Amino acid sequence: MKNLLAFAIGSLLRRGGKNLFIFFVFTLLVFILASTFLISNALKSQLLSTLDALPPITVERIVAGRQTEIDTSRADSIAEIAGVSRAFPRVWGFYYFPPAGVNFAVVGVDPLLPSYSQTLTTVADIDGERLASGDTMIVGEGVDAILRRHLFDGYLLFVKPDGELKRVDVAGRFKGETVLQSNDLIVMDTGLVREIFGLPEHLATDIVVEVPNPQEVPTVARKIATLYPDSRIVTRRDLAASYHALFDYKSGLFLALFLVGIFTLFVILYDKASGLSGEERREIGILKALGWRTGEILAVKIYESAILALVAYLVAVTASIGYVFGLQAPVLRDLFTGYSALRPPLLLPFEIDGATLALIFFATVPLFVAATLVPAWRAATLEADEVIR
Amino acid sequence: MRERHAIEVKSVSKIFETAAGSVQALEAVDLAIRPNELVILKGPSGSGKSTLLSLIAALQKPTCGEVVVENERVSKLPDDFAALYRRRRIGFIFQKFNLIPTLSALENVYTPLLPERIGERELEEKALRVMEEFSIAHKRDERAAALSGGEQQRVAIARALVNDPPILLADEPTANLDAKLSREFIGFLERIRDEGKTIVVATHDPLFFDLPFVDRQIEMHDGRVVGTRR
Amino acid sequence: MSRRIATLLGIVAALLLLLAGETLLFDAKDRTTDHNALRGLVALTALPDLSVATEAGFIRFRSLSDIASAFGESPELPDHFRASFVYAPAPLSYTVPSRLLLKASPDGATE
Repeated sequence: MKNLLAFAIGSLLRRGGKNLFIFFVFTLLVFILASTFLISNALKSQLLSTLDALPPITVERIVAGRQTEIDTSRADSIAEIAGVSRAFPRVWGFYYFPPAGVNFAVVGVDPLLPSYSQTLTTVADIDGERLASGDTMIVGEGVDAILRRHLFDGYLLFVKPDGELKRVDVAGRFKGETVLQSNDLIVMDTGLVREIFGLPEHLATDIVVEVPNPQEVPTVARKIATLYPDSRIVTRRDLAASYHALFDYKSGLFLALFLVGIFTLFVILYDKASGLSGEERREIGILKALGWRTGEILAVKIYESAILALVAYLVAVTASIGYVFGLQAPVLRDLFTGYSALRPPLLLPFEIDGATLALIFFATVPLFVAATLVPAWRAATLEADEVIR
Repeated sequence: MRERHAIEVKSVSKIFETAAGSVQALEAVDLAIRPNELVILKGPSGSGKSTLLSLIAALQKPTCGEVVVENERVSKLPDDFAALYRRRRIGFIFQKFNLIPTLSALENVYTPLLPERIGERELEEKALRVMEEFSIAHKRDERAAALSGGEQQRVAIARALVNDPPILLADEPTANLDAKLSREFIGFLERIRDEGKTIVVATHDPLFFDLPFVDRQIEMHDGRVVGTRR
Repeated sequence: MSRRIATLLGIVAALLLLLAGETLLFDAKDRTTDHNALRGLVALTALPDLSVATEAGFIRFRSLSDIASAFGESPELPDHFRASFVYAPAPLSYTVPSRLLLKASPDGATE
């Protein structure tokens, strides 16, 4: 009812200090919750958008439960399975760069493949001359920055397993938009990668299998598994499941968030309950004596919390969007990007999921209103007489 | 012929359970007040006057006996109906005025009417009208806490009358006022009575004891009616 | 009194407007994100996962890692990378890999 609503607003303003505190705490809570969800949703959508560019099947070899090198001859046998258009070995790994204490992900590609040069120009800014002139690599932003910082300007001296040095020049940098995936990447000719890692010709890191018809993937996978029982087969479906599970609600972060959320709500509840002594109770007593019914007093209290919660929610979500997509989440992003020295800027795609916002709304606002209901009800059912004496 | 009574108190007793044991505030009180009567309840503090008033206002329920107001058994009303009854048919002036200190004078006056389906303009009109009767309309926007004792008294009276109740109850209305303001209050009382309301005032202020326009004085002591004077 | 309600509605409306404006702004700016570049990169390297957390290999390529690498030092030691707090491990790590999932599924259509 309009009158009671106006009274509720007045009531909020009259106890400005305390309400401001609650408003601030609640806004902060929703802000953190919303920001975390926004970041994780954006990261997830980034991943999912590239899902079908990934190979349908990747085959690894497992020894003693750990991944180990795989024999390249397996690729030939796999290629003969019906439904497989192509199977080729892939070489990639991590190169530890001691001066910065970081790992670079080094990936070998086959420059003779036709798709290679087309893709390359869309993906990176290439210095064509340099590319043609011998041992070169294409690096991500993060790698470039680290190299420069450690005085390797435009090249890197790789230390091979036998201790010898191999110089490789930077011939291109991956474009800015790909930073979330290319930040720590070094792409070079497969032969070069083998040389740097000391990986012989007959071994590879894994085997990529192309299966044009998605319906046939499970069958092919099964056949590969039968053919090589010590292999681990990762299908695109597995990757999708992995992406979806990335920010699982069982993961520590979300658990921690919910705990903090509940704790905050208890703090608010306690504050509201203890705050309904003295002046507020007296006021309710007077209202009852003047003829206000319990339901009407309760309505005012509910209006009060609902207004507080709703406005806080809107402020928090608005701020959160600006924080995540405008400022790239200054402090919160450290939670997501770890503590390696090789961290990407959080260039997130703009993704607002109505479902997520609704989830945050229903997880916070009704709980807040409900939390304030108990003390409000207790006050509203007081004997008016007790309070007035 | 049976006279129609505005307020009937039938064998009402009220016992309070306190930490120190039970206290009998009222014992077998019988009372009948006619419409448009002005009745003074007099007696020392602790005689049960305030308790009797709160029973008439259905702020409390009697331990036994019943209270009938305008043919309605208010002592048996459930909470919400009791509140509605108070809102529509009772005007109560409290000993300490009990204004809401952070609200303005005007807001205090129309507070009893807020839950009703009355528009904002009408609320203000009704409130201002009654405030003008008691010359307090000019202080409409001042916070109640900032008003003087006399001004608060007038706001309290205006609030009690804003809903135009047939019955007005006043509990020690002049307890916190000086002689001048007390006399002013008595003047207001006479005016209200002329409007046809039934009024019950509980007081031990001697100023009330020999007023010409008082219909009856009921004396109370230790929770019992001990005397009546016309 | 109704002024209060009007003010409240005004505040809510202003916030909603701000929210809408923000959304439109970021949406427009985001049109510059070249999805082609991203997909091209992934097609080139054929490697999954974001390079967001790079402390260790198995965190960098979460989807391809096996459970053993998480316990590099010794099986009884807990995972000591902060990233595990944020990113749940790929379901593969804790379950038997694809071969059994594929056995159970009637079709293998990719998602």
